[in-house]
Amino acid sequence: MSNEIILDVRNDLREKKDPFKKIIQTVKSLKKDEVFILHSTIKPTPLFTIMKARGYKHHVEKIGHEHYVTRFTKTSSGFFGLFSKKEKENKLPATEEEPLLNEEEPLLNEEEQVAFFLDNRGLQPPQPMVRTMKRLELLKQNEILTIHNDRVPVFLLEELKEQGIDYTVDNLEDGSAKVHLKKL
Amino acid sequence: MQNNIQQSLAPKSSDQFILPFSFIITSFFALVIFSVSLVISPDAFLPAKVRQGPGLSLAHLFILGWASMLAMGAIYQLIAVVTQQAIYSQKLGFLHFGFYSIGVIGLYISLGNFYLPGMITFGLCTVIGVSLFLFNVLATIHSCKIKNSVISATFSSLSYLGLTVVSGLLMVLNFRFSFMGELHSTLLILHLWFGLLGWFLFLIIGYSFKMLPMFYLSHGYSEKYQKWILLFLHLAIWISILGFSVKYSILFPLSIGFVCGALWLFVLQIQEIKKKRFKKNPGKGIAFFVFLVYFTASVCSVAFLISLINAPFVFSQLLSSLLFFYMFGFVSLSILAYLSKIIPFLWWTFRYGNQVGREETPSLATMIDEAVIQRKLWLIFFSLLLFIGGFFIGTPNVSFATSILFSFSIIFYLVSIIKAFTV
Repeated sequence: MSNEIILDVRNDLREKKDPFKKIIQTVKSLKKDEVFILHSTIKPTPLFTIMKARGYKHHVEKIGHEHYVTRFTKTSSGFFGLFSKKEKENKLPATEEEPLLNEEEPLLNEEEQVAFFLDNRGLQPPQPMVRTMKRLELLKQNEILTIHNDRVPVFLLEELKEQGIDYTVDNLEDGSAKVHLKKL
Repeated sequence: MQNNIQQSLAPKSSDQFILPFSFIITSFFALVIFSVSLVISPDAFLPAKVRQGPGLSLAHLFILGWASMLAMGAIYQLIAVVTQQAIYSQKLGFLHFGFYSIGVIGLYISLGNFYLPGMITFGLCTVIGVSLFLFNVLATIHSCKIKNSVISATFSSLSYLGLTVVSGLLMVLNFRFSFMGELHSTLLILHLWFGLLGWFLFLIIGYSFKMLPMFYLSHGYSEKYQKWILLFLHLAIWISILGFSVKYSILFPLSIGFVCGALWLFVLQIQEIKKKRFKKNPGKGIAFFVFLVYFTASVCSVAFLISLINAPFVFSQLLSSLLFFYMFGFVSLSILAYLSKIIPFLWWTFRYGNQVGREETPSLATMIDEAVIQRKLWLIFFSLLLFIGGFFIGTPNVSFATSILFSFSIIFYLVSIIKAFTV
């Protein structure tokens, strides 16, 4: 049985302090066989990439209201395994420098990257549009992506005209809109 | 109840645009009246005359009728996006519109003739209008759970607007009852600084935190400069006010220094946004705004350097031109540049938002010609520089010619914006 190192950053998050430094310091002090357990109020998604690059896999569990427990365990491949394809080595320190926005999820989670429906409601502009554009990049010919936005995405529609993407719009009762996008 | 009926009659998505449009269209009228009046009295803004009737009434028409009127319309539109909830009360918004527009037009007429009863009556209307506005938007912000620098900047901006009104009102009362004595000039400075730096600069920079990423399509950029920018602006305002009230002249360069600092940090913030952009070209109007930030930061730096060597010179000789450039150049041109994006967006959503997907709808590009927009913005910019240059030459003929050019360039640009409504 390996040792467990536990860090609870829930108070920092509640007080709107950035717990990133604390976390990274703890991570740096980890020994090879130690398991890192993080308690947080949000799903610590931004951390996953960084930890993956350091050779940790993660397992998240929501155990209560605003209480997530994430278990990071060391795997073998580590940093080079993740970036060997195209990223340069020095990319990683750059990511570390960036202050993490506490409640900022990455644009598209793994599921959404291949999904055909994106719920963009309740997101601050320009997130809905950037998410949609990201997903459209991966969309194959004749596939249809449906997005649900708080309002008709005028600037997106403008962009689509230039990109050769066909769309139809459903205006819903509550003022929101569903747009169906088809790559031609 | 009435609201519910209205909502069931008209689709909600277009209904919410009527309030912003009321402000925007009225502000266009004010800008046209301003431009025409400027041709009629081209010497109104000469430094020696600016505190007399025509200068005062034109300045207020420009600031209250054009820039603030438009800014209020923009806030009613954007606050919903920023706070993710509808404005506290639409009805109050229309009441604000009524009081405020009557007040502003009345003030314009009575200030021109220095007609005190009019100044007090219409001043009061304006104050009631602004108070309703402040209450409405602050109530919206209050019930919003999101906290970020855009909302914090909006809050600061509105607070300074409140202080501007209070200091302005005290000045009007002092004209009538003369109870302030020597404090009057300090009050004028308070009024100017709260209004020009507080209300407008916080608003333009704060809203740019939101709008620039929207137009550059930028996500995941660092926001580390934003809070420093806002802090520097607060410091700049209060340090210079302190400097004026205790007549301690070293504080004056310090205050300009903080404005400079805020502007250059804003430049850095724009760079951060650009680093993570998805879109190379944010639109010519937005690119022009970014240029304007660079230019204004540079002008401010030059003023800062001169003030280190000779602060009294900056204050006595340059300040009115600097403020003039700031208001007519930075503030007004920023608004005009943003309009080239905002108007097509609002009008398209209002007019075609419900038809899209069912019928053929025009593209935004047909509503506004970006190349024309860019040329006309440059024309206003250079006309303004000539107009300010005319102050230093001081010959009536030159002032007349440059003011005609400046007025013409504004109306010329406005025509292109208004054309979007005809699509």
